[in-house]
Amino acid sequence: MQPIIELRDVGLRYADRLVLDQINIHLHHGQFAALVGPSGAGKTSLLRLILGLHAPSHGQILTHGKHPVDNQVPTIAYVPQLETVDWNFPVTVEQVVAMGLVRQGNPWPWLRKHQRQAVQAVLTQLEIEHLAQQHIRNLSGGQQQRVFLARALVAKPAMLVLDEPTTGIDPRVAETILHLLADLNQQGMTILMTTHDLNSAANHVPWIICLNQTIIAQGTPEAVFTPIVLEQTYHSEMVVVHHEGMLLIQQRPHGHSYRDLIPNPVIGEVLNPAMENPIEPAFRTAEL
Amino acid sequence: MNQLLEPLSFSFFRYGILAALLIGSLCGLLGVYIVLRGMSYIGHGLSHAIFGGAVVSFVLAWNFYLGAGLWGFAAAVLINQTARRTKINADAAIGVITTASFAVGVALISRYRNFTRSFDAALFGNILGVTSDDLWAIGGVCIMVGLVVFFSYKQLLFMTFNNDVAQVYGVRTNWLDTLFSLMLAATLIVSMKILGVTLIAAALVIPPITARLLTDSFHRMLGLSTLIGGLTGCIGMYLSYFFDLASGATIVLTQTSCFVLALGIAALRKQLRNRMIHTHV
Repeated sequence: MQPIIELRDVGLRYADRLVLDQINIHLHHGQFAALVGPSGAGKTSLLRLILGLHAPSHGQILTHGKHPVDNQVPTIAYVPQLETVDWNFPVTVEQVVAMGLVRQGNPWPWLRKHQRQAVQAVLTQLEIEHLAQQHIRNLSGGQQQRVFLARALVAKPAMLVLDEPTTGIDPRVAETILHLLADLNQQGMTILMTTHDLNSAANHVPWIICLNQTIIAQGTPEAVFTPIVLEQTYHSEMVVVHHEGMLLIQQRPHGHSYRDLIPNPVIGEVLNPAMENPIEPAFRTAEL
Repeated sequence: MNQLLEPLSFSFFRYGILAALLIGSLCGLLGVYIVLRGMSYIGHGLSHAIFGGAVVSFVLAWNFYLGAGLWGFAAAVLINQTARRTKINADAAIGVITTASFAVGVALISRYRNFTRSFDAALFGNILGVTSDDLWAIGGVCIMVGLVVFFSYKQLLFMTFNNDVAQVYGVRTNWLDTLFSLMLAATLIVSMKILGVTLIAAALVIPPITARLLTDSFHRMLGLSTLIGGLTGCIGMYLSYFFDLASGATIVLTQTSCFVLALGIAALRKQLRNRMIHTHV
């Protein structure tokens, strides 16, 4: 089967600096992959190559076995990092989602009936139809992520590319977003995302690509998230723990805890007597 | 009512008010994209660059619109390319290219000291000297900009919201950027004779930011900004006639008053909203 995206010996240079080297990736229809690596590893540059925003310095990038310019219809939809969005821009949720239809051969400024229905359908699918007329600034982090996901989905892409979809939102909402992506993947959507959250990637994404200028490893989380691979990727000692069917990854601190770094910490004042012992036993890491 | 109709009996005023209406609307419309793209300084810079082109056209006895137009378009493209292809940011590129171009104009004026009146008109505008040729040129640019904005509405909106992402979704941003530069250069050229180099930037920026204070919707902002630009152009013309003030400056001062009023309305609305929330709580 022809991969949706195929990178063959791809490299990228910015002036004299080698950013990416010998990148070989095949992403097939229905795959769900996470790209992980430290800051400066080249994750965003790799995404930009895949999205066609940069040309590789060497190597080939093929979509459906062809060069992207040969493909008339864009096959990839992109969900940018939330922090790159201008939240004061005067647009409503519906207007943002409708941007996904920009290439659909309608020369008029307004949406046609079937386009309005498509926008409505995707808003309903992501359970944000009640927010259609809201300004984007008035949304919560999870709702904002859903809006940009809706814009991507309304374009009916063959593949979704997301840049750090769980950054800047609380863990509960991040979990919801990852479940949503898993549902979309179950419906046949190919997904590639970057993330710094190794634990979420380990437990929600079936294929991991470790990157640090070049591909360090790729495979299932169990195969890839090993202390050796993680050390090669992050140049830092990592601890991997298997607990109740979950993979938990933690960077080993230079000491054992904050007590090694701050021998005499200033202790806060407990104002509410009910909060004297706020750490419930279930959350104590000692049990791991 | 007769008092309001009286100035219209003069052809210079009729031409002037029509020019102010069209230029105000045009700058208001295009200004929305400029402000939302964070390029407010480009209007100021490019008008200075075009001044250089205007002087060169004068010296070489070229057609003003052709010479200044080509010069302005080249400056806009050069700014875009310098910002894209080098480590220099857009604001610095604007600073270098436009001031250099302005300096060319000033240097030529100091060398050929025979067009001081044209120099004053280019700097401060001369709305009362509008000819029917000027009106045709303004009308032509209005139609061109109007058609481009209408038929590229979705693409321009997406590109203004997020340039890179728009490119991924198939918007030809490079081509649209060039088209936008062309529209901007054309707008500045037809506005320069009317408002002058020093006041164009205000006409491009004040109506959109006033509209932004009043609405959260993009298409309403486009409409409001165009309306504010056109209306303040007309009101400014009347005020300049009745109070015997420089017309370009009066138009800009009218727009500024409008902005201050919008600031007040926005603050009042915020206060009312907060009060309603407190009442409900």
